[in-house]
Amino acid sequence: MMLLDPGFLIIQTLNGLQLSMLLFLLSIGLSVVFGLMNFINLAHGTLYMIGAYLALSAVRLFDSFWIALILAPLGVAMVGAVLYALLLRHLQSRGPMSQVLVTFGLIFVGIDAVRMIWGPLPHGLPVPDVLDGRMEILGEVYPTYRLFIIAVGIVALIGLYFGLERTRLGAMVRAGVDDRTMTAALGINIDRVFFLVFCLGCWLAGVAGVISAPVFSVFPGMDMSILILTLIVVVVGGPGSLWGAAVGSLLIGMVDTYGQILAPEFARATIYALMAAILLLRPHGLLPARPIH
Amino acid sequence: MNPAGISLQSVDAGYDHGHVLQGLSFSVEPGEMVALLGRNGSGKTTALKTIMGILRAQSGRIEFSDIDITDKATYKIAGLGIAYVPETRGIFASLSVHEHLTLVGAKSGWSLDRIYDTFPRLAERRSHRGSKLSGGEQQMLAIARALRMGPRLLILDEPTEGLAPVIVEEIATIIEGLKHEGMTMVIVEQNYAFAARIADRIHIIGRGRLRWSGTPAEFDADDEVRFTWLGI
Ligand SMILES: Nc1ncnc2c1ncn2[C@@H]1O[C@H](COP(=O)(O)OP(=O)(O)OP(=O)(O)O)[C@@H](O)[C@H]1O
Ligand SMILES: [Mg+2]
Repeated sequence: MMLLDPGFLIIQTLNGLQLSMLLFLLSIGLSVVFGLMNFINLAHGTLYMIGAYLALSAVRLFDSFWIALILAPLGVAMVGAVLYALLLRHLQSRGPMSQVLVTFGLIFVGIDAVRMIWGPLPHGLPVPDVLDGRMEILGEVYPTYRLFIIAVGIVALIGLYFGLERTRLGAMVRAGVDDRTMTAALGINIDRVFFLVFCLGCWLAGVAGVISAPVFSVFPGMDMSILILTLIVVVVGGPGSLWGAAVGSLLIGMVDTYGQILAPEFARATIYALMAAILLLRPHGLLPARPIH
Repeated sequence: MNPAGISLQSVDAGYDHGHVLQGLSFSVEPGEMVALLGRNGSGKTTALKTIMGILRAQSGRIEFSDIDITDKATYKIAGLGIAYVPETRGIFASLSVHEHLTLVGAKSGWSLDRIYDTFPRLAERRSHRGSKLSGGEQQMLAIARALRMGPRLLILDEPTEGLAPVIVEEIATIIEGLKHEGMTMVIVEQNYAFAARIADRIHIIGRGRLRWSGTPAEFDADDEVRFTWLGI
């Protein structure tokens, strides 16, 4: 039985962790934005894809993965800011249906746009030299670059924890998630807080896009499958909460990874069944940001 | 402190199903303490929410310190110097006591030292989250948070509701202290004896309109008004 082989378990758990961390980078922005404003941005995966493509161009221009890792997420945050100012801002008071329809439409606009700019064929991005090797971990050899992805996710989790729990802006975000009206009654411009959080979420989606480019291929539509997993993470974890996104990402990342190996034909069905079961038991997700009353 | 007055002129406001406030008018002078009284459902809370811009006035006009605030956003109204302690207290479950008090903090507001001196219970509980506080502690925190904003008008919606008598006394002392400093205040109270004791003027709201207005002495003397609009 494969499951009893420790080597197999270690490798697959690391693979699962890698997917979990990408899902965390993507879901946290979506989750907090949803918790804060009940705003659903289905085009969040598109920002991830744009991150990967911008990285492609940045590497061509500057011949450095690291410069791409700095520039591309900033570019994505700017795309997000422009999108917000021109379009999404006006959807806020419109209710979920128009948000879903408009941002769903944006997914296809995004796919067409990258196809026009970068062409329809898949691209690859080389792994940066320093990380292009293998490391021994718990007696198994594992690609260094994949460990780097896991490390980025952990650093992001720690950074976000401090940002959210230890800064005044973080306190404003939590206050807004708990009780938006009261936060405004304290003189806080919740729309501005929301905008900052939205841009930060886009930036993190951009980071996820850049770091996943050397592992997965970059092609128009690469955002679709990860977008679905990300939405599941938000729902399962409970919107608006950092730990919800973290635990949800870990769960879905692991279940998807092991599912693809143990029962590939049922992997997605298993995830949907898991989501349904969790929502039946805990309709607001595993660790929702829960207000008083 | 630089107290400011407020006035409502023929304000209509309400929820989806229709108007609760129907041409409500009243005013509060700078430095005055007004008690808003009225039966359950008469529209007191609705009036306060409309002042704060949480509900929109469909018609009429609200002026604070001679500025028209009728259509302003809630955060701007708060920024002009109105602090609001809602009936539900509005304590954030995931913020500590200390975070509630540092979330806002105007130069003109109370210092943290003064807050913790005045509310020793909050000092003891400074690292506890909002979800872990008792009702009395939540109420004190809501008032303390409002004072951190350095308001020119303080609005309190039933600050003593459902609290133990000791705590009611503590809150009453603080409110009386604020009155002596000359803070403009609007307080909604079910405890009429308490309201009559601390208020300069009493406004009675009935079915969304101002029905009576006078001093606590006039209120005590007028059995008919108390019976008609408050049922006592
Ligand atoms: N969120 C709401 N949605 C719809 N109707 C509401 C809402 N809140 C209050 N109402 C209705 O508006 C009317 C006035 O309510 P309001 O809360 O202003 O009364 P109040 O004078 O503060 O009463 P109380 O003494 O019980 O606090 C009531 O008929 C109430 O049922
Ligand atoms: Mg009320």
